[in-house]
Amino acid sequence: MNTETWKVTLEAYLDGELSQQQARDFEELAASDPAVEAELATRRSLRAAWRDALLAPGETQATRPIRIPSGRFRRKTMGWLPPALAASLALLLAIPLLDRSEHAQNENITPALTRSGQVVAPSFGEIPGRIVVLEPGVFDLPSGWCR
Amino acid sequence: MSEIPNRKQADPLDQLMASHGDGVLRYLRSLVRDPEVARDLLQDTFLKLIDRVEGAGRTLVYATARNCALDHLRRLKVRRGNGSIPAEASSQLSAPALGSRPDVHLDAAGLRDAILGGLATLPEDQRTAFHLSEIEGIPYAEIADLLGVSPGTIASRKHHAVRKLRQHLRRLGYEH
Repeated sequence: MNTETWKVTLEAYLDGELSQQQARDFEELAASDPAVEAELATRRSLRAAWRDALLAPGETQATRPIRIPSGRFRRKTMGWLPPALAASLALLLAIPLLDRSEHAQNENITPALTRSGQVVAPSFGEIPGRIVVLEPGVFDLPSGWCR
Repeated sequence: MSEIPNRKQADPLDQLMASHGDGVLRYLRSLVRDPEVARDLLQDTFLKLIDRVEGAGRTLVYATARNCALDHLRRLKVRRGNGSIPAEASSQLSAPALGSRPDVHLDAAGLRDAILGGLATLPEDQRTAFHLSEIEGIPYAEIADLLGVSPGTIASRKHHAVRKLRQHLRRLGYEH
């Protein structure tokens, strides 16, 4: 048996692919040839090391697909997508509300005139009863207002 | 008198996943290297098997996984515009530099990366023969069935894969 042949046979022997007779023949060869015996020992240790390395738990643990109510399945990937969509939607809804709130706040400031000629804003923002007195000339009256 | 409700019957997909999920994921990892891509392909594999889950055997599961991986590699090839199915970019993972770690034999993570790097240089059929036989312990006849070749061909492919992988590991200092 030449080297290439016994190396293929060695693999088959390690994999349990030989018949009983073939396995016995190979064991006899290994017992009579130190090179074959040494190679067999090396391959056994390599196989153990390779299996330890590749079978180690961690990255290679499977997760099954998620079942959704319709009975269909979807991939358990893109887990970031639902929160991102929710956040975007919330932002889209919040922008007009904030804008309207700010607008309403400005509308609460209703300037008025006092007898002294001062312009008074009777309320300001959300602080009830707060009166802001503006110095004459500070506040430009819109056209159409009269004293 | 009403019966006590039975425990929830095991889902066939769960059973299939429990039996083969980890092995298929390792196999996909050896084919595509990138762990995230391997996970996606695992999901694709089991999604394809949903309608055939009853009675699906190991060969069907691995054959489906292989098809998913080959489809992915073909798409990658088209995107990259080169002529061969890529042995997924060898530089993706950090294999140790040549001769930089001559005394490290028990570093499982480093060895894993080195093995995956070595497998990436092999043709896909040798990779499959090596991984399924050497790591998963699947018989030659079953792998042959999966690949549509004879068991003797599997023995030969595995022998070549082992030889090349050992050369690769020797260059990296993992085998003297």
